[in-house]
Amino acid sequence: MSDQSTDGKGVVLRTGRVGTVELAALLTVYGSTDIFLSFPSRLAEHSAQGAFFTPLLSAVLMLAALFVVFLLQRSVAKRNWLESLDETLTPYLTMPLALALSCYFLLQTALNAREFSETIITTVLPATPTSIIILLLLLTVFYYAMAGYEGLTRVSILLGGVMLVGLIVLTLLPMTWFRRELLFPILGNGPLALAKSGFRNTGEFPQLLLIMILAATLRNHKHTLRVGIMSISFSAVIMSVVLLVFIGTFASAVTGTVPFPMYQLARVIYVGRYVQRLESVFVFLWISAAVIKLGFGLWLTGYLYAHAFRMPLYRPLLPMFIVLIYVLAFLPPDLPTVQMLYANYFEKYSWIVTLALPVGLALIARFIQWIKSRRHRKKKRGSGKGDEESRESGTARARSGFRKGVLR
Amino acid sequence: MSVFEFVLSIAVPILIAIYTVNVTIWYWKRRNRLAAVGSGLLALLGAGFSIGYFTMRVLL
Repeated sequence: MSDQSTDGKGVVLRTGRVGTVELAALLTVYGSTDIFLSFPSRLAEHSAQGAFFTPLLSAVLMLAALFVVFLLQRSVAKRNWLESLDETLTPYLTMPLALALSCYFLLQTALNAREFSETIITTVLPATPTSIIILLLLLTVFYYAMAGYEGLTRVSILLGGVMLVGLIVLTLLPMTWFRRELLFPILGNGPLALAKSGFRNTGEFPQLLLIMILAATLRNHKHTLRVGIMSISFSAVIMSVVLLVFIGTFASAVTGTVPFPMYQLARVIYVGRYVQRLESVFVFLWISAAVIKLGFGLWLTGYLYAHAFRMPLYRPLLPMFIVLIYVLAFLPPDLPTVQMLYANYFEKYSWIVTLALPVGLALIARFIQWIKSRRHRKKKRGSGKGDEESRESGTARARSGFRKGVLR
Repeated sequence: MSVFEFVLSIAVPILIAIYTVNVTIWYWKRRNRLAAVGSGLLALLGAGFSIGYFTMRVLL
């Protein structure tokens, strides 16, 4: 289990150390869980037949941003981004930034909790009240977040493998219904619309932001960039393949009328009498992915809030955040409102948090570092002249007999 | 209002608020003023928001 403590200089949140594959698995699962919800349907409605290119385009953009950030700030690979921003900028600026990020993850987790519970009601438990389902889900999520960051990553690596195998099964078996002609026109609404959609969809890739915050927790800092590349690429491929199968299987995919594409794909599976309707597999995969996503969202909310207020511990905050998530999840009256909020706010403006913020702040930090190093060099040059003068006078004094021994 | 609804919407937020206030006092005694402000703010926000919301929901 992770430990937290304070050091001599001030308050430091300690989370424990994780391996490369563990963190990559966590970020991949966190980034690609939305495919179990209505996200593929919205994307297909937006980008028509070319929707499966959108995650790939977004991933290319995010990878470019990742390289830019790593080129601008080498320290990103080793240190917590917020801590290094404390030094280069000021704590007065990082505090509202951490608070804003905490609010962002809190709202996202609340909306996700509501969407997951509504999906459970629509698909498997139609008679159960929403409050009971959200309560049970949040209790599991709370336990999971209390287990800490190391626990989250280890469960992700275990479930990540199962999820990958399950997804392969769920995308291969409906191939009996797959029709190639449904994929044409392959660019959907045209290259410009596709590029716009790809840019907008970068909000679905929070890996860059997360890797910057969590880089310090890696055992081997040389692998930080590798974690980013792995998680972004895997998420993009998973989303793209699911969208490809979805669009090729359902003629109505591009109209946005299929609410839960993965569930529908699992329902249409028919490979002989014994292999058909595998939605039970889907439900298992989907609940485990939801628990990882919500657990990590809750953990991030607590961690960022604790960081903002220089708290040595984040765990005592989690019960109150669970209460807040429970209330916020109930604010939208129904599922269409939740989906509308997602489409109109989160999917539209998330790129500001996931793409513009890391790149912009890395640019600013680099600029400030450059100014500081320039000043330092100037000072050094000034003091260097003084040193040379004193050295010259010292040699003159030595020549004229002012030596230690002589003086004595 | 059933007992379950009461526990879920009123009693649990109050209990958690008491716990968070306790954390606030702990931080205050350790002279970590900023952390105390943070946890106090969270207690106030969380409890106020949840109790207010559920009360409104019951009343309306």
